[in-house]
Amino acid sequence: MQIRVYAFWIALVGWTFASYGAPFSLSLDSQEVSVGEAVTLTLSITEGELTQDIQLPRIPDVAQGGSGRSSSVTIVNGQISRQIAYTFPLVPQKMPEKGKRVTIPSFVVEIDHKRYSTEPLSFVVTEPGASIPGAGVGAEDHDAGAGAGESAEGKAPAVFIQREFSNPTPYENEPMVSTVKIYHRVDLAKAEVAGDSKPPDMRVLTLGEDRGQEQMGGQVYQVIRLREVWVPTKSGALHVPSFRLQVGMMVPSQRRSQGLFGFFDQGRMVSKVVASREEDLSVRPLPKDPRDQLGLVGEFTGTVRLSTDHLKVGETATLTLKIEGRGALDRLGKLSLPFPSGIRAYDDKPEIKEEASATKGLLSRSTFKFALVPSQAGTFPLGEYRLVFFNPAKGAFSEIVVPLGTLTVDGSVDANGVAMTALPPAPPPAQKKGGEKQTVSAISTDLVDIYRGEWPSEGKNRTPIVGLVAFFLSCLLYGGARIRAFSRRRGKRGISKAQARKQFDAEVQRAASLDPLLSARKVYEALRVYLGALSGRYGAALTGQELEALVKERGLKPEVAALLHEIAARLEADSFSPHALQAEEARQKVAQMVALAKEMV
Amino acid sequence: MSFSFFLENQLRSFFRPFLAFVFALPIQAAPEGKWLEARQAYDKGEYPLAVSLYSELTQQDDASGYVYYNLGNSQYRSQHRGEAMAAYLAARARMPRNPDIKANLKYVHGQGLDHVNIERNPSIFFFWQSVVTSSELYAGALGVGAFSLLLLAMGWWLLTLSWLRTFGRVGIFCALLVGAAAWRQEIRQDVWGAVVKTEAKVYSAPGAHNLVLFSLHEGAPFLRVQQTGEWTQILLLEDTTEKIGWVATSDIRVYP
Repeated sequence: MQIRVYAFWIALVGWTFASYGAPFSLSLDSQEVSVGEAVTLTLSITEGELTQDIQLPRIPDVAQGGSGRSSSVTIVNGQISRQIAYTFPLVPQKMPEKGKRVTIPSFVVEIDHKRYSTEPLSFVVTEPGASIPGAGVGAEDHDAGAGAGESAEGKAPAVFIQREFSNPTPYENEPMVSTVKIYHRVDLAKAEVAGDSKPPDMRVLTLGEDRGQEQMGGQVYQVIRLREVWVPTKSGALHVPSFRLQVGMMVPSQRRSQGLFGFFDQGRMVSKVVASREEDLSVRPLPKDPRDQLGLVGEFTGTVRLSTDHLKVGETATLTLKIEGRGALDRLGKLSLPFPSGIRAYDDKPEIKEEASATKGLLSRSTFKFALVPSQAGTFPLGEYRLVFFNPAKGAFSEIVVPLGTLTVDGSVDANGVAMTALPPAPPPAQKKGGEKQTVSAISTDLVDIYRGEWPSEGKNRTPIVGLVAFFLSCLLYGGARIRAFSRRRGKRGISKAQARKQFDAEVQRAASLDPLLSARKVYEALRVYLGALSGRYGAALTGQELEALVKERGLKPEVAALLHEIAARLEADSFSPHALQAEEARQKVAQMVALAKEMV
Repeated sequence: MSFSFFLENQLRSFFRPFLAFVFALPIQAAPEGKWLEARQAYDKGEYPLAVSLYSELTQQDDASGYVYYNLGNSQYRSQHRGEAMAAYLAARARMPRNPDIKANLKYVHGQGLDHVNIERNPSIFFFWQSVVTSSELYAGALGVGAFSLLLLAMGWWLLTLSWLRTFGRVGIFCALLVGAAAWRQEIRQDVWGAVVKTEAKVYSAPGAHNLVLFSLHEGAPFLRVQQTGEWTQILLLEDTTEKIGWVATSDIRVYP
């Protein structure tokens, strides 16, 4: 005994030292929770990182939801601290076998490759049914802060969830209605489904939701009913996970404002996860029947319609077969009807329409269409269609027989009484817009047909006449433009000798009738142009020295060049100093220039 | 009828008397009647007659690629796969981008026994050779040249717009490039043909006494290298290799 006591104390001290200074903390957001409600276990790491995923130990009768992770950074007096929190929702499925307390055993946390053991935590589980009459705990109220000083009404849960099934022992492929009821007596600021609560091997069709009021445990609850049609696709035991909902409830503040401003106190929002109980369903297998090939369950009827029962060879009749009733028809697939030889059948894509009903479960309708094209005349009974299904209401298999009718086909003859060959088969009915597309596969291939247009003009290997003509015309235009440009350039920068001489003579002629000074200038300008034209240059732009050089180049006497220089100098002097050149002298200069021009010829 | 065709016809009719008189050039009338007759024969299933008529039409100096194409269809319907292949290859030479010609060529080629290619491996620099004809390139060069000359003319007419002259000079350069490409295409144009006999032996040199290198079967396409009288040197294009040899000209068909 003494050894046990020592061992206990050693273990306790060791655990204390092991946990002391551990860079994490473990907490529960509530110490009391009712069955079906969630309590959140939070592991907060203040230093380091997790180096191994956390494996929570298995807790009997407590469902564990998916974990979450969040991080936060705090700056206090320049010190930065970071905290990573891992959350694990825990939902007790039923009352503990012993007492009301559930213990979360110690588990290992590895942070930066160091292993730490956590402290065991526990919380109290209360019976939800007991809480509703007011005898229970009502964990939601407790957390909401509405409990203190309030009546028994405050002990009832504020929010809880129940799930009901229309048939807890369905047959395989038999539809049933699942109803999730969300009870709440406080306003819900938000409600989000947390996690998938649908079991495997189950086809689910959403039916919708409605709202109402129900009285439970002396409390009036608002109820939201979420309905779905479930079709089990496999027989055997079926475990249905709990339906979890994260709700945000508005509750009054713990410190209520007094006086006038208390009216404006809207309270605070409390976020909680509530969940329904996990369920176990038993899906029964269908009895054996040799006629049953599809495993349909329900109650069905069949109808058939022929667009016409009297037609000619090559014409098309449409046969429409409808199977409808209560139950799932998705296993029906594609029908292959044995039509008689002499009739070619082209089937359209079957249409399946399903409608979920809160009272009848699943209503289905399958429509099959066939385009029938007879290739020979005669009377063709189309046979019948048989469908075997299991009727759960009767607990036995049923069979429906749908007669498909008879086609009477006349032979098609032309005006001469000669039997015509059968027309090529009509194409299958056009695909409806939005329907599933099918791959087009080639039945055969052949040459592309011949060119049937007029005598072709393209594809000839010959000289492009149009291009040649265009090029020739462009050459002409280009030549014309160049000639014009050349002549314009000559007119601007220089003129021919004859033209320059003509201009000079004209100026000399005009000099007699003009002011002597003005005429001297004009004659001088014309002389310069003339001198330039003699050398192929634009004389008006030449300087005095260039002019003298030109005169010398032409082999004239130096006196002539000097004379030209003197004339230029006198005229320039007159332009700077008015009246420097007298009229008489101006006439003399004109005469000298005329003589000069003659010398140059 | 395209505008260029209309203009060309107008110019032809305008210059016809002048050309006929001065240069005595033979100007043929468009053989629309025979063209229609051949099509009717084809539609009636008289394929040998259609072959005969289309063959006559190919003798026209400006026979279109469509004539060879229709001839190819008629030959194929007459069970002459090799002749059809040769006609399609001639049609492709004139209309290299026509999808119908490509489709039928591929179809007939797929039925051949010999694994030889019907086109050269693509070249980086001369990729355009398989998609344009020399005539089209000449037309392009003339068109670009004409337009560039027009720009130059405008540039010289309106002396202040000197940029027109710059564009014109660049255009002339491009036209010269395209013209050079057309010239190269013309002198180095591939001439394709096909074997028309059920089996044709390919020899190492002209003459049946030479070594038989390999045999080809009806419809096998090849490139003609040269022709000397009764013998034609051919080149076979395979995936990675080439084969060359001589075949009797009577065993093959090569349209000019």
